[in-house]
Amino acid sequence: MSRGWWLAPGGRIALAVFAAVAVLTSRPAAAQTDARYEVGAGVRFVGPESLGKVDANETNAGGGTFRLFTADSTLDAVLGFEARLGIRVSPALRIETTGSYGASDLKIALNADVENGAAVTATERITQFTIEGAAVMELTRWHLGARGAPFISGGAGYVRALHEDRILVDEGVMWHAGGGVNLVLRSSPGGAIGLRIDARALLQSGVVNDGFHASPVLGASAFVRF
Amino acid sequence: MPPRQRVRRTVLIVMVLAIGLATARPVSAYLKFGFSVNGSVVTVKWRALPVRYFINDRGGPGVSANAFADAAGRAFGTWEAVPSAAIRYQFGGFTASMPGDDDGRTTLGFLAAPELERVLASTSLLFDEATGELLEADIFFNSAFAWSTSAAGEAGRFDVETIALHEIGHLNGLGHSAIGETEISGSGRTVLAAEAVMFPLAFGPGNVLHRTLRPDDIAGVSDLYPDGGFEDDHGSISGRVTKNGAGLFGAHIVAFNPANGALIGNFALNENGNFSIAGLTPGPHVLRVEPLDDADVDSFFEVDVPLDLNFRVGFHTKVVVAPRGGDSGAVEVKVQPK
Repeated sequence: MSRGWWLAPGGRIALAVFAAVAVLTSRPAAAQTDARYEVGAGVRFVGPESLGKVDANETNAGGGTFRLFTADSTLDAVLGFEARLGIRVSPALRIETTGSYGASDLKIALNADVENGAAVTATERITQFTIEGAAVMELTRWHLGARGAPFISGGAGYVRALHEDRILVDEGVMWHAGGGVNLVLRSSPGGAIGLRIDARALLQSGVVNDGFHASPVLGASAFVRF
Repeated sequence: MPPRQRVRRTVLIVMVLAIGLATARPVSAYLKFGFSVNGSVVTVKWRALPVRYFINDRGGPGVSANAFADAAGRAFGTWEAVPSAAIRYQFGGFTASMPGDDDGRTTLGFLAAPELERVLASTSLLFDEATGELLEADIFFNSAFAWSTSAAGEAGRFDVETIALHEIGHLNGLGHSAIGETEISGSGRTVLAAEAVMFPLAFGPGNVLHRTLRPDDIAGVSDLYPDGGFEDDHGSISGRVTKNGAGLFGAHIVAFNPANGALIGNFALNENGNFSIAGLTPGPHVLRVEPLDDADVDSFFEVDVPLDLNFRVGFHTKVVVAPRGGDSGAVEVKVQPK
């Protein structure tokens, strides 16, 4: 299940659209500090990820399928930690790299056994590490009061999942797009501290299987700019 | 150099209409023929490749020797085409020898065996008792049945290529797979479905569905003759099946891969209930355990004690991961009495 994480054609399109939106909506942000760097840390909640339903099928005499049982796989929600480093490359645009850690359960619901086997949900603990790169654009036309600055973001990353008992590593790719609000709690010409709240749509593959699967992500973190 | 001790095991490995017969000696590991020597498992397999085979020159009912050779050649080619297996064959030509002649020649051909009214074909193996090296394997097709080599199959006739594919699996050293479902029908059984060419019971005449190997077959031959990094790229799951704390001999365990739908199985092969399923794509698997009740027990292996079939079909409650190039570690799968 290992795979590279070069940009797929779809990913190029997604980033191009993001860049276009950013150009249209940005303008010099008078309220921003001159701080070039940002570091942040916080928690992230990744919603449950449906990995799909695959039947255990045999072939019947007519060439059709004979279902032995059904298997519906889900990666449970994850409450994890993240840390990030950002660099401002224009008054409104920042490039960030983020690392995260979290653990969840892989659950496979087994039902409809042809020989009346009792329904069971088999489970396994999976630990995930991610490294992501993202572009974050503050939408300076729409401030939320004096301290709030909405932003949109998009990026891609690498995910590494460690199965229970540490006997197998899955590697995969992830894409995300979303937005949120930066709340500056305190600022000076040289820096600032604040909070970030954001929501993202996540597409991820390579963990458990190679298909892309979607799940929502919510994040809350504190940041320091300097 | 002392002469090798040879023992001929006339292994009735058969494709049958309604009942399975197999008299392989103790099967000691995953889908493979084997036996114990001083407590060690010896696997029955070819050591010298390619396996040279001959075709009897008489042909059979409605099938010329040439057509038979072509169909058998396609079946050999199907096994050879497994990229993760190193098994290779070579057609040695036509021969007047009959399958079953103890002449050192691996021979395929027709024999009249009307008394074996449910036996379509059979493979007998000659192997070195000390090393497990296969020396000769003969396959006979029962000319009491109607046969066909038609590309699309032929109503009322059994497909030579389909049955040859199964028998060549035995020639390779594979035993029967239990990944299939049957129902009692009159004095025998009807196959409802199967997901292994090595399932002991055949679909009906005219059926050509089992000209294609399934994951269970591919795992078996790749485990016997690994090639192309197979051992490094695949993993195994092992453990034991227990009922009320005691090992359960003869339980059928299937590993299901929810990422690709593959079903690969094996049996608990001793009184401790130990099993091992090899040739698995690395990743999470689900384990399902069932009694061996879709064919006669001796279709799969010889036993001196009755198998315990008195337990319910069940799933292991943990997802089990097959690692890349390794084993899962001991898994205990508990089943409940009926």
